[in-house]
Amino acid sequence: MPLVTVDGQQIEVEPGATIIQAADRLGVEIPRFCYHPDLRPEGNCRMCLVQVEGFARLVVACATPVTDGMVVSSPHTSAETAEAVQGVLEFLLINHPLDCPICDQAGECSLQDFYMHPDYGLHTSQVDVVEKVRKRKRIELGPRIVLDSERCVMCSRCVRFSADISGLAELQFIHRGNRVELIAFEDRALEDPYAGNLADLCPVGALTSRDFRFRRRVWHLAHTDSVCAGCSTGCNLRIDHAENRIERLVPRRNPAVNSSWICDEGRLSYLRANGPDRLSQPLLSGGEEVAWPDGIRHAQELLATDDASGTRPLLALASASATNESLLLFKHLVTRAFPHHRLDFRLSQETDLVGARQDHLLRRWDKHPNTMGAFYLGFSEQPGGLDDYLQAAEAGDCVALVLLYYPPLVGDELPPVAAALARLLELCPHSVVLTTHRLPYLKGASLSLPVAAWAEEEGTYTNYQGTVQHSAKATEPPGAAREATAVLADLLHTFTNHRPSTAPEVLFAELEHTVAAYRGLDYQHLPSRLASVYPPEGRMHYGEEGFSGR
Amino acid sequence: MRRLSDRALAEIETARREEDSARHALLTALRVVQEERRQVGPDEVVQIAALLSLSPATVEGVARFYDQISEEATGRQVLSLCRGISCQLCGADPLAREVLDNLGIEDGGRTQDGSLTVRLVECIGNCDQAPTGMLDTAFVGPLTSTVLSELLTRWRR
Amino acid sequence: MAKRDSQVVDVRARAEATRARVPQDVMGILSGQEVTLRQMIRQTVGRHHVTIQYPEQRKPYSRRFRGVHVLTQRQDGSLKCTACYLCETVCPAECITIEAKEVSAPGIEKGPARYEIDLSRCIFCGLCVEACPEEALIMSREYDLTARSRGPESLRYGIKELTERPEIAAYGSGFRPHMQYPLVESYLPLTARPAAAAQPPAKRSKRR
Repeated sequence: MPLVTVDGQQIEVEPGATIIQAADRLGVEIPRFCYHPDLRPEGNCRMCLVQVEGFARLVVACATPVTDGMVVSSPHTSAETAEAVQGVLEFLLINHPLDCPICDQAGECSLQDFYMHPDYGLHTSQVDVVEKVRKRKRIELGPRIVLDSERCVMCSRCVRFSADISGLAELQFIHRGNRVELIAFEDRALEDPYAGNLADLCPVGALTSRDFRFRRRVWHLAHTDSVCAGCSTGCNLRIDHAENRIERLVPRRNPAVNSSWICDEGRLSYLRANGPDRLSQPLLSGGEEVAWPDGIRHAQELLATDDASGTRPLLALASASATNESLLLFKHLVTRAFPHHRLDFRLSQETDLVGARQDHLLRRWDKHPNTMGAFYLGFSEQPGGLDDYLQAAEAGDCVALVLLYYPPLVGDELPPVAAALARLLELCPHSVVLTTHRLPYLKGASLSLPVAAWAEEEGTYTNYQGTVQHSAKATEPPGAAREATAVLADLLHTFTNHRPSTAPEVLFAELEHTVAAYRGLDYQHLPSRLASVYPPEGRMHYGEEGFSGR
Repeated sequence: MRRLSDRALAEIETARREEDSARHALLTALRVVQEERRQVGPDEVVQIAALLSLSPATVEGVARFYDQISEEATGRQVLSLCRGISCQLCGADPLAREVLDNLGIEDGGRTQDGSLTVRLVECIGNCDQAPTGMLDTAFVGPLTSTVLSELLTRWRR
Repeated sequence: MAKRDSQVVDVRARAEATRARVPQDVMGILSGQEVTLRQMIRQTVGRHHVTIQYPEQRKPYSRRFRGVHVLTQRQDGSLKCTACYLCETVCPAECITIEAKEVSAPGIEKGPARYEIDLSRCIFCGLCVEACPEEALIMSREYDLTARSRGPESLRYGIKELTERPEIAAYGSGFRPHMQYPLVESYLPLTARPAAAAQPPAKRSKRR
């Protein structure tokens, strides 16, 4: 295994690893534009130049494989390298427009960060620009992306992404020299369902997100690491929020799950959580809002079944969009308080949707983030599911029903499922629904209890690979909505006189203990916790809480 | 959209079959279309892209790299005036200015009747005839005011 | 805890001494009154006034005075502000609130949909003006600020209040450290600008 020294620090790497990869692992910051760990290396930007002992010329760290005994100096320790890198920066800045006040990339811009760096930045321009090269600006390439070709530094990350990752090759450079311009043919709208990643990839403000445009300055955002709850992939992401509103989602790099990408649907999944039709108070079927203590009392009255014979058990259905912790408490409630019960998570036979909602990259047909979690917790041990429940209800065997339901964050609920739920609630005389939104197909519920949506509660989801991932709390739920675990703990207390802990670590410890597949997992060190955002712009950090405490 | 001629389509198809990859056939395709249509504009890009199973953006990226492949239609004849260092030292700039003013066009522009395009190009390697140029594929030089006006008179006829 | 030993103080001697000083004290009072009298004569007869009769008379302030803010405008009346948020970020009192919006003018693209300074929170430090890269925000020499409520018509000045102030001509502009357009009165709303305004010098690129 080759051993390399970078700026005096040693590291052993696998054969074929490049200098920049070794440096990144050591924490030595080598500046770069075109290198991206999930794209093929190109070496066109020349920012990652380093000095290698014994080599006549400076080389690019991103495309030079490490050899054993190599000694490398970055711009931080080599004056010659610093001068070269400063030259590259100067060339780029000559024709770069002074757009910082109006550019969304400010605060997380590689050009800004590199220019402000004391080792290779802060030069005074030697070129008196009389005729700056001007290019086209503010070109909308579809609903996700705005292109400003004047800001482009021609790193080609977007070109490589569009060609290799999406397979569409919608972006390309035209012309030569300092006239090079990034274009989409005839400014056509990008058809790429992963177009949102282009804004993350672009190290400057050439490709920016339309959804986030001018919304907020990035230094006013607080960051919370979490995972997407749009489908069973569970792409690792970071929630950027301010003043209790989610402003955008950006992917975190987890090679085992999602590389550095997230699909556009998942990227916009926060819109449903921010949505206007949130349920914020416990609601009776007549439309009357009640306070929580009354809500819990009503729940107790509705669900108390005197069914000693077991012919009309409590029907319990928890959607696979609930966290493992919520599912655990839900299961406890149903199994401990109701000797006769049926427990399930399956809403429908969705496998016929594989082709329509899945692709070769990240999107999966199952738009529930925790199907495997529900499965591992034994939610489908008996034959059942929504269709069976509906059958029982049609036969008059539904007396009491408890439903923990979250509408999908990607797309709408499937019409047959919505119809089945509506019919079930219509037929069942005593029903308690724990949900996040006021949904028309849940109107038949006798009692609706408002619960927190994704990003408003802490918990874990088990993705389709069986990997348990941590989902964090970023914002507070609206009105009187509470975390599902808290509501279920209240109900457990009402029915069994014992209130379990709702602390996430405690619940996870129980999960780790109960589920064979989770044995040995450490809650604080789940793999998804380790992923971080790449490219690492915004080195001028203002702390994890964002710049302003507001 | 004006379809490419059958002859052009056949030539491109041959290139596609013979080359290792579609990208290698792309240069041939661009040359064929430029010769036939005197331009490779959006219409042509779309057709070439379809023939070679490449994205239009990819085709445009290669097409716009070369000055000889033009986006706008060029004249039936192209007068290229060299602006290399030898030619400049021999007075190429004022000559070029004179020609362009006479015709009333800018560098790269086409005369109104569409018959002639004049463009300033980098060194064409004919320095011993400086100031020099090319009329289509034939060198012309050494150029003087007289030679040029003769050329243009002949061309006008 | 033991009580402290009390001390007996004989105040009779002190009282005697005070009484003996009466003439001295009277003289002290009289000499103070002499100052008052002297000033009174000086001011009435000698017309030497110390007090400025505000608001008929006003104290002149320096050209760099940090008074109430003004959002400046371009020649076409549009705000120079591009909603870059630097002023909001640097403000130590956190009293500036901005919301950005798309602006159609090419090359400008961004402008403020909402720009509000809560002048009752403002400490008039001028950091916002120093931070502004466009000289879109300056301070005037206006200092008398009143409001009738904390709700509407309060000291939360929005775009309207920060631009449409024709009376600003009387106060003049104050703190504007960048002084890009010394001759163009961009702090005045268009209606109040002098007829023939000199053209601003062309923007110069960075030189060594």
